[in-house]
Amino acid sequence: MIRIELLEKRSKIINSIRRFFIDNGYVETETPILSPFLIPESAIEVFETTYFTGENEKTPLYLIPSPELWMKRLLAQGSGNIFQITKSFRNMDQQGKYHNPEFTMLEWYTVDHDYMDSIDVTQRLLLSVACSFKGNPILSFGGVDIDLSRPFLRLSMREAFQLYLKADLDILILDERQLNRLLTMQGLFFKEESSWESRFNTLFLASVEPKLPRDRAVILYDYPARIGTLARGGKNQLYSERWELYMGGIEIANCYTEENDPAAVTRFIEEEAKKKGKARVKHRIDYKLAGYMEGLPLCSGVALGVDRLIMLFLDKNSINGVIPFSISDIIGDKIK
Amino acid sequence: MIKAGALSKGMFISLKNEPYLVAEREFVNPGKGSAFVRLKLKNLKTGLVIRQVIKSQDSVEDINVETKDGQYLYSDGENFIFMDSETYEQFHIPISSMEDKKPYLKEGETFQLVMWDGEPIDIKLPYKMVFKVIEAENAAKGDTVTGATKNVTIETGHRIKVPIFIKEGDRILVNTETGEYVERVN
Repeated sequence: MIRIELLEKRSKIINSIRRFFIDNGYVETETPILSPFLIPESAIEVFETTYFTGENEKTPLYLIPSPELWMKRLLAQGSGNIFQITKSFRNMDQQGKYHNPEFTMLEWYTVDHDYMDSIDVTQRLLLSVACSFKGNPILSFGGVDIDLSRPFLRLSMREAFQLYLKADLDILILDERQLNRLLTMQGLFFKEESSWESRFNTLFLASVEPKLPRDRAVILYDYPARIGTLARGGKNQLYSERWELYMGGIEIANCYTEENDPAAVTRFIEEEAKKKGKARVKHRIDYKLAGYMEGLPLCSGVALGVDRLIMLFLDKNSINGVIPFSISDIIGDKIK
Repeated sequence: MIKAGALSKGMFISLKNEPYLVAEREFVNPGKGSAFVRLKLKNLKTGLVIRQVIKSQDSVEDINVETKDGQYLYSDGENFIFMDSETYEQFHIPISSMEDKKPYLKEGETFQLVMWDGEPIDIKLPYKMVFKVIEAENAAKGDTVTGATKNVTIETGHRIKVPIFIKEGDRILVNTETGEYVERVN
């Protein structure tokens, strides 16, 4: 496909996303891509640049890994429902089928919604985009059809572990020895001194995630609360109110009921800031975010990887196939 | 030691004292988590393929391999027998661990052997190799459909799909990664 044909298709998909939100009363927002501080997220490496403010003065600015911090300020000011389609940036040495250091992200927040309500919005969004782009609700990806008019399959993490591993996730969360035992039984390589989160992820990625059905959109919800995020705690304290959407075996979107307790947000920022010490690019931290929580209403936010969604719509097995001028196109073999 | 994130296809590592070839590597970030690599590893002693998921930042033991030239002599049904081109020492490589190399091993030809701990653990095939066609059926007369193919047997006994104009005695270039015919080299 030549680039202009690809761009035409991208434009149609992105426009139908935009139309869905506008038709549903969301306000499209624009927020800084260059930011003087960021929410610390230990799993993400960022890009840093320098802003020369005067002859001999300069200050670092960072390319946003997501528009979250600015969109939450708008929500705290009473913006109501908002959405944004923006470039986001993640710096890492890794290249792969699903990553490009700059990518298009759709992020939206719905007031008075929790994470479960956001599933319905996501379902209506994808159905609407499919119908306007393809004229029907069936996506064919990698030889498998996904019917978007069928309700998403909802599986809790606990159910998924029960189903695919015959294991009780409650116990794996509470008893590290059981987790290690199961890893060993699965023949998986792990370091005992590594964090609980890392060992949990190893087990999940090796023995649960590959077994998720590919012929349906799957919502995997209620992640262990031991994985620190800005999602609100669940009714069961072991879990947080968040989900990930999987389609065709690829993670497409994630969602939280947003934490709006200032103390919990401060705790998260401090803990992540500590872990961030190991990051290659150390950035200034948005300590003010917690202050905005006083005004943050009950809301749920979803971040969706637009390029990955386009991969599904165009039946391409690599993100390079849907990004005109992807990084491997423009830098070439040097970073393979 | 090497960071798991720096592994790539074709590298050799040791896990729990077993040597493995990295057959596939894909990065994956579980929802908001740090990066992991999903690996498909081939045990170089048994040929068994296993899957592992390792955190990109974790180190794994890479194997210091060396290569030497070895002449392929014959197969005894269970092993490929190679001879070290310098010392004339013979090596037995279990066929079961390298079944996929079998179609391309020509008797008398010299290949690069990947050595670890004094033992050959892999046979490096040239990306493209020339083979003689030893048996070819005649294509049906008048069959001029573009892109039509037929099967021929090459000197290793392997069958391969080629265009219909290839005849017995022709020499053809074959891509050893895909197993596909490339061109005639007469």
